[in-house]
Amino acid sequence: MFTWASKYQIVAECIANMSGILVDVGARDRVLRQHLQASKLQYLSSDIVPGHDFRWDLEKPLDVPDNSFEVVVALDVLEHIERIHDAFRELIRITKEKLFVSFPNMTCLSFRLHFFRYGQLSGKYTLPTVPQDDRHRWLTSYPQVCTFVQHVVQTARCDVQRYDILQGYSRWQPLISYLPLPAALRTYTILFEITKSAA
Amino acid sequence: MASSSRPVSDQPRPLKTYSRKDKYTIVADLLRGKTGTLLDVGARDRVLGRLLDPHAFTYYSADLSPGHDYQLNLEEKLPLPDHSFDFVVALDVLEHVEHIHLAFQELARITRKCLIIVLPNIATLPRRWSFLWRGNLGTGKYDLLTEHQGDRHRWLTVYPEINAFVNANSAQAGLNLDRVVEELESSIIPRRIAIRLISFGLFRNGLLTGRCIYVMTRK
Repeated sequence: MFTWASKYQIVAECIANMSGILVDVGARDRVLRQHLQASKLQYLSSDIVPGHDFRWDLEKPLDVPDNSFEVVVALDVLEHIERIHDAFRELIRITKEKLFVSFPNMTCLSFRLHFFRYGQLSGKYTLPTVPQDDRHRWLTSYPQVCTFVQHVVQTARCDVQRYDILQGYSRWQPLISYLPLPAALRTYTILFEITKSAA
Repeated sequence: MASSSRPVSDQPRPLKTYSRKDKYTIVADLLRGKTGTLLDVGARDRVLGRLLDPHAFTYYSADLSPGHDYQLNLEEKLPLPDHSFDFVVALDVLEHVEHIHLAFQELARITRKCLIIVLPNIATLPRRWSFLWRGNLGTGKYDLLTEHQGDRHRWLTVYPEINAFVNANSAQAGLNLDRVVEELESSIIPRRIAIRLISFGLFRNGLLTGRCIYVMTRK
């Protein structure tokens, strides 16, 4: 469904009545926590850099038991991971109730226009002259991301709800978000709410 | 001052030419009249080997998969001594490698005389149009599939960035970037017409350049 809300707002609304532990994977400066002031969930953060509750490297299996956290959130994280399929399965494994994952739609009309005009997608795809770790390792297009998520979620027997987020940073996105275009062109970020079945 | 410590901006400008031929023919032409040992990295079905004079070159192939003279993984340090081969060639290989900077330095290390690197330009006019119209770059090498595909492009190699990358890394490796041959893309504008347009000063910013072939020599 289309929404003008931010990914943080959507996550906060979906978990408003939940309790337990939430772990924010790839938390960086913990923006999500600012949206969870009213939540009963205990907030924990994880990142590949130090300074967080957990220091997880998603390129490797996580040293965490199954169903460890009521809520796991990984917003715009998986496209940074070479082993994206395994990392996604690991996040599902450690989730007890709900997992939220989001991806940038790099083939939305905003990015298509930008690439046509400038020949570059965004700074996250730059080939630098010296090594740089923080980059997108996958070109996440709307149809391929949806198929990828559906495939992994089906094998894990979860329910999934998709949110097509229209908000974006591109110069053209405010206009494009109002145009009567297919979701693959309008959507800037794709957020998936994945609910584990009780069984 | 040693070339390895010379700032990139001080490097002499390489000779730049344009070609309508394919990458294998261009590289074979560049190697004509030379002799020595040659390692073809990412050789696959050894197309280049068939185009080289067997009396001039001792050809060795290398790939990640078995069935070659060397089975090499460019993600790691190569188990070969410095300056092992007179010529080292890597055609459309580095964009597949996560540790692209390390791989470049390793290829340079095992080169005695000349290193030839080929990188695709993904931001040609036809590819930009394909991305605008269809949302794909005209290749499946960037696809996110339901299962991990090992053989994929790990870098979005676009014209100004590959030039800057090779300039900086060849200088760091102590190599001189002598020559750049731009293989022209033919899908929209015939290559013959493309060369004319470029000679008139149009499309000089890589819009019609499908690949860049970089020739680097050791001092």
